[in-house]
Amino acid sequence: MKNNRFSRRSLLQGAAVTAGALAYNGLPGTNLVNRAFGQAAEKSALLLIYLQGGYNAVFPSADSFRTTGTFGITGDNMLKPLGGVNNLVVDAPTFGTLPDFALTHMASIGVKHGISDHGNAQTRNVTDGTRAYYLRLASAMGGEAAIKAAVVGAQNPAGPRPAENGVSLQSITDMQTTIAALGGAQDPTIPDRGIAGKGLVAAQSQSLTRLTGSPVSLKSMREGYQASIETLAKPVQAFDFRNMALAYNPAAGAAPATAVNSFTQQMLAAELMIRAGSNVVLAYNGGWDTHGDRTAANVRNMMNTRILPPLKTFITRTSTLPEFADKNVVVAIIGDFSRSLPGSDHQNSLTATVIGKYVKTGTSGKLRVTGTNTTDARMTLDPAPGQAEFWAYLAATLKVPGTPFVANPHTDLLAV
Amino acid sequence: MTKTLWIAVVSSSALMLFGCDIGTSGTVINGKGPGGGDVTLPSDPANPNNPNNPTGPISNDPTGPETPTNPVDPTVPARCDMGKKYSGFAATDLVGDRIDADLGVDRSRVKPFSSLAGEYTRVLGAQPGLIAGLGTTFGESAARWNVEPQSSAVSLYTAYRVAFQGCLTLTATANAYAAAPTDATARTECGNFAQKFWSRPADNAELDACVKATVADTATETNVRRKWGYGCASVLTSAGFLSY
Repeated sequence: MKNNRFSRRSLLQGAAVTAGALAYNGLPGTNLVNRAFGQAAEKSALLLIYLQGGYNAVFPSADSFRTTGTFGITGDNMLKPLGGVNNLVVDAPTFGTLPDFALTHMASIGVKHGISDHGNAQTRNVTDGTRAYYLRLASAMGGEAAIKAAVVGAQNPAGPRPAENGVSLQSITDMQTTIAALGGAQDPTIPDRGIAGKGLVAAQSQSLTRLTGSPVSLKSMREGYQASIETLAKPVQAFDFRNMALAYNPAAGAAPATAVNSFTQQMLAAELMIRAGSNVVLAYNGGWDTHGDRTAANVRNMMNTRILPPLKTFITRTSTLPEFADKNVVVAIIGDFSRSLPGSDHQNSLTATVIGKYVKTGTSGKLRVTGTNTTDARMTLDPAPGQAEFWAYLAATLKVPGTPFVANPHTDLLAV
Repeated sequence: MTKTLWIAVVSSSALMLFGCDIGTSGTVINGKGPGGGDVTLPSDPANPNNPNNPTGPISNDPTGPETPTNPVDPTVPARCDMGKKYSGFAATDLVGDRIDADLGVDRSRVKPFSSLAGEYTRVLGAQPGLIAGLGTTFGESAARWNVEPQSSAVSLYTAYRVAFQGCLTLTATANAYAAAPTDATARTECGNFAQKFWSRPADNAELDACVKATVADTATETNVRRKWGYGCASVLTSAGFLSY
């Protein structure tokens, strides 16, 4: 359902005064009304979930393990066929429980990166060694947000991340102070927004010598000044934070926690930043280097208890709520690499999961498993494109104009 | 004295022969590496260890490496790469991407939250109430763990809020802030703020920025002391205070 009553720009320009009266009122509790309205063009956003340590291919390619009974795929009841290109089959106990939107708009993408050590994998999955793919993507996506690329939580991505056309990666570690920066807080201690913006310009000017002398060690400060100045120059934004928080945690109470210190809070923060206009949001989660997890019981447990509950909420909300009707929110799940057979060690390839409105169901990342049992089984990802091509596919699902990376090789997994 | 002279001669000779590459893994003796194998000396003529570099410590210039005709730039002195090298599997150079930076570059670091509260108290005389509970915003590390502090748009804006709150207290009663700031009075007080918060005097450009933040940028503020508070907050939110 599209909301055609107002243009977002005209509303926000006129809402600066009234927004104060409806602003986030500090803790405890809020009583805001969300003010996302339709835009002339569909707004896209990417949530990239990075499972540090590895992303077991049993989730995006469950049928690969059926013949050998590896990674716990011991019966057809463990398989959830989704069909489509090359017949996508996911792990029934986990991904099989995702919302219908995800099950009908999911693709598994093979990434033959040839890397089996954590450090290089974590770097090369998100950078080309010099530039960060996610910043290039966020820059190419354009838009009006001051924070176009955000990482929610304390863990930052590996590798270099020079700003791309002024787009830098900003950390979001607390939602209360983030909402205050976005203009959604009413508090007598908060300085006048316009004067504060000029104050930060002055602080930036007074920092020039030190920032110039420490271009690497104070990079985050240099980029932070610029992003904060741009944020304060944008119209005030208001958020119904309490109701958002209750959706992810019904027990949140009248004063929901705002620290981004769990995966649930990361998903809540991701929704917040996407509502605020961010193009790319990264969410890192650790503990996925699951050596010895031969039946995948450990990763299934982590997936079901830690990842899927808030992710389901995020997918459901961003695919059904009216305020997201004019948005194209894509979710991608990756890790360092798949887990190898038989011991769940390091495979030198990755099969990623992508969920989105323009994702065509299917797979280019089905693994070929040889062997006869859980001991002699081995897996291979047949020749497949690498990381740049994966990011090109993401750009295509996000309807990014032009070719910010390389040509998208997965055109058969793209819905027109 | 003879022994001392002998040591000096040997040391100088060692420096001439070894060049600067006397890290534990890179010792070169008469062109032989630690294992006795031949070592290729740098071919880059700009490399100070290149014997054909007339300005390097190993120089074929009979007049020596540092003469009036071959001055060494004191702002970019030749230096030794003393870093230990590590080889990984398959003879991978594990420190191949180590950046050999110039002296004095990247000396500043973001102050960690663990020290920030005390720092505000030190310079303001009282701790702004807002700072409590902002650990997650400033990326406070978990107990017995350390992560290099980073800044962000949100943390810097929050730092400005904290500074503003503290500055409102600082400027609440003193006579210096009783009258509306002028360019002249603002310049004086901005200088005082800089000395107090940065432990050094501000230069003219820094003073200009602070004066603007105090006078011109607060034109819409009717409360005189809050005008001073805004100027004070800009100084307290700059890298001179937020980094060390």
